[in-house]
Amino acid sequence: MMKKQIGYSLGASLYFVYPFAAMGVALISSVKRLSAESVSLRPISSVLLSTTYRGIAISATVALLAVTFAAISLLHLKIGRHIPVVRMGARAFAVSTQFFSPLLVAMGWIVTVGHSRIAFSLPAMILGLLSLALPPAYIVLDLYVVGRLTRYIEMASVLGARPLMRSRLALALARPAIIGSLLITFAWTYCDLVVISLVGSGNQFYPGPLVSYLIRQSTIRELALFATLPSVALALGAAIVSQPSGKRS
Amino acid sequence: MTLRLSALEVRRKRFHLGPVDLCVPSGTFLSILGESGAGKSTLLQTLAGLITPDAGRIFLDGNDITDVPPEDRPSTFCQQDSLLFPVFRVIDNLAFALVAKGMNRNQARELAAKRAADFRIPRDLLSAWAETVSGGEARRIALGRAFLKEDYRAAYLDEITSNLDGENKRAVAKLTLDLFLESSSIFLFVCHEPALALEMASAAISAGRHGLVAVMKAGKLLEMDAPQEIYLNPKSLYTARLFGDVSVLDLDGRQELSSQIFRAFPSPIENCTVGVRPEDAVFYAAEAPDGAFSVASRLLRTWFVGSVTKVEVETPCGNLIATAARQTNFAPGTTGQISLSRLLFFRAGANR
Repeated sequence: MMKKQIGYSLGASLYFVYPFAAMGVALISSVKRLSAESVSLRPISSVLLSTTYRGIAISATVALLAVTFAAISLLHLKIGRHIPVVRMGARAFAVSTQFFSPLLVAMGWIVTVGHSRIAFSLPAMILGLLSLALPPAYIVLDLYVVGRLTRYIEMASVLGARPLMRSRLALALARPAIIGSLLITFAWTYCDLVVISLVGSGNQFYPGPLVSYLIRQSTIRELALFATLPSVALALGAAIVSQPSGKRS
Repeated sequence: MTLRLSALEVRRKRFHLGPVDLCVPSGTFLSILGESGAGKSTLLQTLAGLITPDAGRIFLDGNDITDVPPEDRPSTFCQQDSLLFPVFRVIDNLAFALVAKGMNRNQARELAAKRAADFRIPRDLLSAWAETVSGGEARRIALGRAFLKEDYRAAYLDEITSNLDGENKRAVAKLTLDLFLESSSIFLFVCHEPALALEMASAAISAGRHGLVAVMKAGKLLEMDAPQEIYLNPKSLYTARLFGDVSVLDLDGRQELSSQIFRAFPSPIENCTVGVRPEDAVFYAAEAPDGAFSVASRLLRTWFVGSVTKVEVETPCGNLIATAARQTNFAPGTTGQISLSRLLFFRAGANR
């Protein structure tokens, strides 16, 4: 039981911490880029640029969130009969942060750069809307996968399958959804980054293929990180969340 | 070997199962009937270990299995959604419980292939992907997968005949009965069809085993009895109506008719509600046969249901659903008599 709780907590923490980690990484990237371009900075940016403060702030935020969500996960197990409520609440929180992450990053960028010009170009608007539409698609996919998996895994458990065999089955069943989530997240992150770059550049659309721009800015690593994390979290979450809890409404 | 439930309760926001007290002896086929939302599936899922009860205990063979995880319970489970694992072929679905038990995968496949015929699964289907099989095949494969978990002492079957065409339904029911007769386990068979529930339980009795029918309503186990008894002497109007039409005789203010009826059909219960099934009330356009208890009636409508023609008639004790000879084609308004051969009596307060 303890192992299951720890596993569940880790999976859930990874899942829920993701949007914040993504925001943190994007902010650091923005600040780094600013630093390289020697843009004159406001005091708040100086604080953000300070390696010590930045390191402490990011680490503390991530740690705090990890602990918070681990606690939620444990609570989730403890009050099993309210699983749907807690699960939906936690997911709603994750969705809302994912919704606002591009906005927050853009705001962070604007504050850092010191101007408030926002791009309203057509490509930015289309990509921005797409960016807002993709996280719910991802969450719907996740809900579908976990909901569907739960019944399969319950069936496996009454047929005598132990947790390891059930987890392997869950991963096999979730494979198409994991690939789907990977693609969705890639597209979503790509849109986010493009929107951020457009907003940050003050209505200036970068010439040339966007991908080459992103590579040049070393953001492809972040893109990979963004895309991989939720997929891994989905797989882990699907494998762990779908285990029979013994309590169900 | 006995399955015993002691004050079993599952509480949810909008649903409350129990408290259920139940004792099912070894080798019993128990058909469970009830409307949607009665708690039949919740009961089976609780017994299978998928739902933890909020109160009460479950005993199998005298052992308390309430807190035993599903994979360690000596029971098997099959449900309406066959839930075949789509990432596996049919053979691997069948062999799943054997592999889960620790058997080598190839050995498990061999054994599953040997047993496939017992579940009416053709050999050429074994290599097909589970997603590609038909509904009837999927149900038989799901049954095979459940019953290849060999060490079960109770089988929980949740609406396994639902949403199947007539032929497949009969095949699955026959297969279930054969599997029951081959084993000495307890079978709990949830279904929505009263005729099937009665048929399965009475077939078990015919084969020298125990057969019972239980009725559930709003999370409560209303009554449980042998199939004939529950049909002929239901304790409540609800149970009676679950098995078909029952007309309630309106005897209020009809002292003379009431005393005639109770003279002809002595009631074991005082202050009771009186009902009659269509097959126990036959409409005659002329006089009813001598010796039969009859009341005057006027025909309102007729409808043909295959084995008989049903009629709705107006009588001094209210409108009744009755039967008439299959070939009859009476016009509405025809007057005649209703011959009553058997009545049902329900205790006051047990009518809903």
